[in-house]
Amino acid sequence: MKFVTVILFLFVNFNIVLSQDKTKAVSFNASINGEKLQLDYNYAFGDDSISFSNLKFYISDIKFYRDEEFIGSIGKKNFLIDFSQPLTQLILLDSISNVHYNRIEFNLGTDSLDNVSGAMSGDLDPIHGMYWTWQSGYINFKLEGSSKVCPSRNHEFNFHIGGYLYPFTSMQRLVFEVNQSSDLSFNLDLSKLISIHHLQNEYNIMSPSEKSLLFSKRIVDCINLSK
Amino acid sequence: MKVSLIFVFVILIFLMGSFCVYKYQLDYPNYFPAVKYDFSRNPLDENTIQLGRKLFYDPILSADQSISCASCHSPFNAFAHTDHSLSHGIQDQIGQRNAPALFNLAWHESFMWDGAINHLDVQALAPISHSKEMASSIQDVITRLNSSSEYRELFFKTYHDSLISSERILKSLAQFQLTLISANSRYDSVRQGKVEFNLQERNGYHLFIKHCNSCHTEPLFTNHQFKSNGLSVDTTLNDYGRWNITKMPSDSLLFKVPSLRNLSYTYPYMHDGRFNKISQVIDHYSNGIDRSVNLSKELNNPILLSSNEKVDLISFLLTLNDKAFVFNPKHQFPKKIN
Repeated sequence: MKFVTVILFLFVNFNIVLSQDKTKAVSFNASINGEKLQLDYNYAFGDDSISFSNLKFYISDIKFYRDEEFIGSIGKKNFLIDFSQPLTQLILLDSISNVHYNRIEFNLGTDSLDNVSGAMSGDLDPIHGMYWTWQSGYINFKLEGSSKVCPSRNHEFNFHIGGYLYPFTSMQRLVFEVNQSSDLSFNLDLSKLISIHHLQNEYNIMSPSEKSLLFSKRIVDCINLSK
Repeated sequence: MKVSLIFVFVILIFLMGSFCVYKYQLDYPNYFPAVKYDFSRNPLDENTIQLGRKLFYDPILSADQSISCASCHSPFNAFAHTDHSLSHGIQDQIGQRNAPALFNLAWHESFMWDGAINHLDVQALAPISHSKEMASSIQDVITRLNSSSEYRELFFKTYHDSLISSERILKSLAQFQLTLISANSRYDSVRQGKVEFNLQERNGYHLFIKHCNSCHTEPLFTNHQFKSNGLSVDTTLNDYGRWNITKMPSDSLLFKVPSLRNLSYTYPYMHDGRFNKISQVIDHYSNGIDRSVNLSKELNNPILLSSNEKVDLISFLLTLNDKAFVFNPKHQFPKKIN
């Protein structure tokens, strides 16, 4: 009798697990020459090569809609996506998994309120190297690496894109129509980004300016929904 | 049942009372405007202030543990840096600017001569990281503090756990600096009806109201705005002030208007420390103005003063010295925190 009860208990629990929707997730990846990005790896780039030592960016204020109806958001506002820590590339949608939506919106970068609210913790902690120290404000997108096409010291390039003050507000809102039946995977096409950008002419952007504003718009053009 | 309810109620009232006493209240005169700092995000309390005070005076913040905040913000100079036109930091490196005095910071909405910093809590990140100031990083500061059992204990005492985080370091430093209130000058005694200006001071006060008050607005003696006060560009520095931050042509050569409180303690004057004496500053406004395109409209006409008027004006300005603030033992180097 005891044995039957245990079997019955396990069966019921197994069915409950099967009947629950899998927790959905949003992931952020980057590619170069069609391959998944590996930091500190040499890729062919024109007649030369290129490597990326650092890629980090903020995703904030993720919201879901069904047509024009607001469906919901997730509990946390800011996510630091850091390619040296792959776990950060995955954002679990615990509170959204069981509802229907067909549009996702999010910011690339941090909003002005978070830029003027003093010392923060968690993903906004300045220990992550995403806060300018010589002036206030978060670096929304950081891409660093080297390529011989750059006539800079050690052929390095540094793109620290941020700024919350008009007219150089670099936070960008992205909107994608989605099929909610699957996980959402976004890809940043680095080949496209650096080819539009002409690395040989512009290899250091490290403060809010016209150039950083333009660069932030170019990043948006290089992010696609891959699945 | 009723008796036990009353007992619980009395205990609750007692606990609430103790809580209120424990919280720190900023003490400033009623003629000061409303504070700008949002205390709800960082409520003052005595332990946090004392932790911030210890950090402020501790060279552990710098890479080679030689430079503290107080190195350039000395209490005896109203938390400014004297004797040097430009402040110097780690390994005797000379910086780009004259370190500003620190007081009445709860009324500021931006920090540094160019307003680069928008919140007191994050201000300390700048000197900690600057290669010519402390040449460190907040990550390294956390590591150094974590290796000190004294700091682990102090953080535990303050935050009820020993986690040393950037937010806690920065907010405690901010708390100490928020307590640096200068409101006990002779001018304040006059405002409070305790004493009266003498004739010279009164004449100087009238001249001040006529010529200076629109920017150095009483009672804080700054309007906290950015202005070009007609200083020619020092071509060894090429410092364009607010423009460095906004890149707007209209902000070129604008610097934050400093408070005139504690003038005698805070020489030299201006962002690059080019004037050593108050009389040189007054002479600049009389006949030294460089009419750059962004010159503050208040300076369209030179401030022409006779010799006697200059003496009167200086007599008034000296009433803004706050000796009680400068020598306040609560602001000095902490001998020991219990």
